[in-house]
Amino acid sequence: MIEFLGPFLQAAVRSGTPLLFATVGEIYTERSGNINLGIEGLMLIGAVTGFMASLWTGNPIVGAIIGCFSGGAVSMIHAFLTVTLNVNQIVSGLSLVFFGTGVSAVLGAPLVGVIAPSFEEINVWLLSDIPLIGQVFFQHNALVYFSYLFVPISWIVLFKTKIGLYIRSVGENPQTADTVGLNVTRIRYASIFTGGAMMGLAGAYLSLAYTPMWIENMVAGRGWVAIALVIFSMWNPKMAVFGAYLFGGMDALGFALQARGAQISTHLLGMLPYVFTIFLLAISMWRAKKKAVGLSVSMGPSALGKPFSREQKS
Amino acid sequence: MLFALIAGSFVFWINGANPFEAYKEMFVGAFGDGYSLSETLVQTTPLLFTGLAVSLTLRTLLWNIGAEGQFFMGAMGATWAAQAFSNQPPWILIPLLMLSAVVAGALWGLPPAILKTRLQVNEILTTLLLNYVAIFYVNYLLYGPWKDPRYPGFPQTPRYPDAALLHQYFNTRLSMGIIIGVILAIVLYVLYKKTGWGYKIQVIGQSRKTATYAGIRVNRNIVRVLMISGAIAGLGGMLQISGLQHKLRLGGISNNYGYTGIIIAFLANGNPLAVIFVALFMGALLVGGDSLQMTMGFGKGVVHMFEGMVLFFVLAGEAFKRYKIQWIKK
Repeated sequence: MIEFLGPFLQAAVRSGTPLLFATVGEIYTERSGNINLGIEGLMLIGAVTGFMASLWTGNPIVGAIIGCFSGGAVSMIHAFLTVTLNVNQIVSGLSLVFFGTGVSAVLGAPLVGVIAPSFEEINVWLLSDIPLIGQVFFQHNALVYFSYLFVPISWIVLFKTKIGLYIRSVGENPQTADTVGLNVTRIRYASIFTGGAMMGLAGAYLSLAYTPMWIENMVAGRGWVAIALVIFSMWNPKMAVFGAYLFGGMDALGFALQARGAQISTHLLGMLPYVFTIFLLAISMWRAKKKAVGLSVSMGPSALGKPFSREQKS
Repeated sequence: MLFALIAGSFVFWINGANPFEAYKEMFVGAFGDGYSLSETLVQTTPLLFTGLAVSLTLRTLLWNIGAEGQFFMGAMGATWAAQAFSNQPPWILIPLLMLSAVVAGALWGLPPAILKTRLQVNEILTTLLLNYVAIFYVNYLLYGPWKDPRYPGFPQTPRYPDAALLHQYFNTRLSMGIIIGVILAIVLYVLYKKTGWGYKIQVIGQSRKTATYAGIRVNRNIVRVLMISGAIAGLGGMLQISGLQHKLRLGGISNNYGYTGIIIAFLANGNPLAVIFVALFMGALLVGGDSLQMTMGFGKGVVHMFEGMVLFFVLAGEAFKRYKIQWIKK
């Protein structure tokens, strides 16, 4: 059993990590009251720019940083349109998906089939020798270890610091936040940038550590799954870990079953994660309805999706 | 729009091409002669259906991002009917194909509708995720049970029986699909403007609360709208295969038509007559982009990038329209 379980869970963490980055990124954005549906596009941009940077500099770490920054930079289009111009956030996010798909395909056209320096697996000293746990959690690339740091930090930032309090109050009630002297616009811009940067990093993870090469449209719907995971995790990075690894597990299950010689079509197995995500969404909403935990928890920040303008009363 | 064109020139320029020549090339490629015009209309046909499908849901303030999957399922349903009833004459077979495609598309719109009305699950996510499921399913059929045994290396079905094919006119690849699409647009327009149902869905779109107070059954109408939307996209899928491709073939089903339909519906502001013109524009962009690809060596991505930019600028333009510039005399 353990020789099946070990690689399987290891693969679940491996394919869950990009979702984790993207989901936590979107949590930052949505906590400030802005919904960014452009994750898919931003991840593609992060993937292609990260790959290019790694190819040119020969250093995947530079690649990851560049992917991260370009995700943040492109998300500023969304920030400008939705925060400054108060455009419909859903439409702006969708446009970002088209834009990202197109830009990444144009930039990536000469990169198909090229090999760039990528992240290598690093075994953590001593920890990787622990049976099972070592294999599952401590035989990975550097970006996975970074996610171990980043997620708890995000939780602390959002729920235990002043910055987090600002972000959340802007997301719950921008009018009040404005009255007490917070700069709603600046905080939303910053949250969208942070989110975009994490989505870019998630993309760079795919092209520099997971696959590792550039394939057109390589994100394959993970951006949308991340949005679903935000709802599942109830806008909390702690919960996002479970969601992301669960989905990663679904992703890995197909390979694991095939490796054991199961006679199931790869295409049918490919459907699994998406069907599972829909199921997860239904469960989260059902749970919220059943428990009646209050819509404030199940529906996310109160001002989510609503533009804020100082001149208008809401 | 103008800004998007300028921004587009910039893209051509950094790719090392003269922007004016590129636009000229695109225009000639799309409208230059009878053949390219017919090709533009061929590309417009599926876009009309996906555009109309999405525009219907937009009127109720719902987003059907799943037209792509519904299009695939429509193509799948039609293929099933073509195989199951292959010895019927055309006047029975063609309507059967259409019916089967419409049902498949509508059923693909059903789960998001149920989840939306029962549990308030966001329909953007469910419709989108079902796209991937539909595409994987069609892949499965094409690599598995439906594969043409004569060409083991290719993921495609055998050719449809002749009775299941739509006639192509004037020695082009154009079938009656485009006419059906235009008629559908006009019918929808009349439905929206002249019937109680059209008014109801508009009220639902403006305010769910008002609609409930006015005694409109909101949930039932939401389910209906999403299913009809799926049905329209599914019909588009059938016409694509029966009128153009003649067999279900991987890569020959949809050229991101479902996603482009979203842009079309948005730019047309949910108005079915406007959908006709925007679909024509997008069709021309696809064909023009293709000819650009052949003569100047740009990839397909240029078209997507262009679409994204058009959207950004339209959005920004609308926002600026809201702020009128006023001269205040002191």
